[in-house]
Amino acid sequence: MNFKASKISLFFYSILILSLLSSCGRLVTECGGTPLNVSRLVGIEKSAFQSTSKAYLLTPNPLDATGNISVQSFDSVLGNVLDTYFLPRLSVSTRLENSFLKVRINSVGDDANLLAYPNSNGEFRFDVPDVHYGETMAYHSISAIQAYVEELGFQTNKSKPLFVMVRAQGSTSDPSEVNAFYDHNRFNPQALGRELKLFGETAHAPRQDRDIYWHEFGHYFLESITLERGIDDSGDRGAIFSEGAAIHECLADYGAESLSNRGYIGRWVARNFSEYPAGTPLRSAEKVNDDLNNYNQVNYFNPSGTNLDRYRLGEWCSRVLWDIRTQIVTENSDEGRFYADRTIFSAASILAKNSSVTDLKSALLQADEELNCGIHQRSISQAFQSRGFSSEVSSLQSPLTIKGSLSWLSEERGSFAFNFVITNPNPQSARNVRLVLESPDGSFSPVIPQQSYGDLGPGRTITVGVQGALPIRYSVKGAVDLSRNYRGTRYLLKVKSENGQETIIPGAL
Amino acid sequence: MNFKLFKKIKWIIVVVFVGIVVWVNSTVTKKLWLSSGSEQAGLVSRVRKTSSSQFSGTEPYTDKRANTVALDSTLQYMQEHPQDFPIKEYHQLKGETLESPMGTLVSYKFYQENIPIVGFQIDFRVSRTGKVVLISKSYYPLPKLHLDNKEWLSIDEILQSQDNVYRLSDEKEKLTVSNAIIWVDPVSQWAQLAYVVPVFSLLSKKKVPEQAIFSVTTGQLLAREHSKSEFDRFKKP
Repeated sequence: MNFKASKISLFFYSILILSLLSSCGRLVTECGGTPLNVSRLVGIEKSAFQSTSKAYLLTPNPLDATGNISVQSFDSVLGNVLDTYFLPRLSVSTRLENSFLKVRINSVGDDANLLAYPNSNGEFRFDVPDVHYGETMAYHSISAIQAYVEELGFQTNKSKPLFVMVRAQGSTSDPSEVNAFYDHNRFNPQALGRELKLFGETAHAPRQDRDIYWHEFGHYFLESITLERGIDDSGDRGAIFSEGAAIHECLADYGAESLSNRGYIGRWVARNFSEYPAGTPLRSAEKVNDDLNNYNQVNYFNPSGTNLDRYRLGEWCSRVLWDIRTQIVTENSDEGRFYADRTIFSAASILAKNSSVTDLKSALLQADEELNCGIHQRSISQAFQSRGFSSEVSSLQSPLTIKGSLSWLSEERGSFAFNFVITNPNPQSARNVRLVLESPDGSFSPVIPQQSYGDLGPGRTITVGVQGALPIRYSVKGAVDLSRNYRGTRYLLKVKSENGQETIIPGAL
Repeated sequence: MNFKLFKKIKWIIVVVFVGIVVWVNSTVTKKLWLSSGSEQAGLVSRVRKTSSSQFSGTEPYTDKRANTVALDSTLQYMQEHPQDFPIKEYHQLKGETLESPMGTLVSYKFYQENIPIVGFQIDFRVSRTGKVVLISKSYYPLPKLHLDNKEWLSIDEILQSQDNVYRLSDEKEKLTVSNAIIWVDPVSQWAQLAYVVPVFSLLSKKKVPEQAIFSVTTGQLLAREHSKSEFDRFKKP
């Protein structure tokens, strides 16, 4: 063959191949999400807000800020190491609130004169033990994470304000009792607002810890982006355990940890609990030597009920998410964490009512497909697989069985529950076993309509209400109107699992 | 052809040609996509102009910040699938939207004569390409309830009828009939008028606040909404 002709042919074949290759696959501009403004996100991450209102804080808390695990809030040295922050979006420079976020001390209706007020320089500067320091930390923390999720592209439900009570009273009069409550008021459309209440007046008070505010904001954020459809409806209605509750805790922890760029949460508040040696975090998304690294350790039912704890499954879940985040950051060290957060929170927004770990995995894959052209499908699946979770489980050959009896609750007039034994007769495990109570004709109300028990191994049983077994509060519960004749009122008990047929037991009161 | 000249400039030709191909893929294709999107926007505009609705007389009232295009798309979707959305004319819908990276989230909540129906909700996602995706639906054609409040119990009467197992968690909160809701069990398809009352259960050692839902006519406990409480399980040092 003529050498020059062959070179020309090679040349044109090359052009042909290159043009074919350039039209294969999908462009990120077609299948990916809109690009993020990374510089603004980095600024928010560093709390670089533009404002004339200045505050002095130790973030995230005195322990993590100083590195001193023995530090307490009233240590005088803390006053000398406060950092300067700017407070964004204040409605007026003299009050820690805006149209959405309202910081209080005890209750929603606190007298304004009792609340934090800036000094003559216009600064919110208080000693760490001072309750006004807590108010300042509350406002700054929640404003910062609110700005972050908005910059990621999430609009949140501001139809009602968020009230934050940094030293609430009412449920306990013991100042050493530490707690944090979040009320979304999903069932009360006429509520004044959402409420976050912190309790405790200790050397390590929750109000001094940004981790607490970021975690609790996570609950509000998750309810908001899921349009309050109830991803933990059964937990909201009193179930001891549910996978939806675990997902709630998981995502709340993940959000706080990711924005902190720190794979653990709660070293400060953990100082209030004897279970935690000084300096140990409350929970960790990074692998440690414990029994929370594998799905089999956290979600299998055991007779003591140890795994009926939303925080165990939630912490395992946060480690899966952290693994996904770590992979994405490895691919893109400068911006990956922001894209990881956007993907994970977007997945959360499409979770169904009474969600499960299976639902979360599916949602993550879908979110990745729509926002990242699906380039992390394998990483996501691998993250779950490596921590012991597979969504491909064998179908149960036979339905679960249940034997039980009705029991009237003497302490609660008109209320009843069930003593029961649920058995898995199969050689396979039953995934996400739940007991559901339904009222076919509305003659009674299912007050606690569903309880979850995790996965049930082959040949294993769940026993509730019998002496030596789990107490009856782990059962579903109904209530009748005693002024009416309730005899003969029909009910349906249903035993459900993700990989098996429903077992339905009809009965009558 | 002057092969020497060709030899010199061939790689320039290749680069230019590949660049043209890439530009065509990204830019022209994108424009074609946008024009189809515009067509859809035009369709939504036509729907908006007609304004008549199967939900006769109950035009969805919306937050002025809402994404009206997404609302229109989802309303049109429901109109096109009446067998899946048999919404009664005496139920009002309130549509709310939230923007997210995966599109616009649209939620419809329901009312009868301005009383919220808790338990009914329809959620959609309108993707960035305009596709309407149903996320969840909880609705059935509930018969119209009679909302005459002459026989309603007071909240004090209800708490007493519960053997004082509950007490108000916030004594300062004014509780009036405006706290009334229509509580629906969409699984079993029954509904009752109810109060939502912020309480503590005196049976619980740790008094975690909750919202108790009581029938307004019988005082029967229908449901409870529990707070998310973080540290109940821990002991003090």
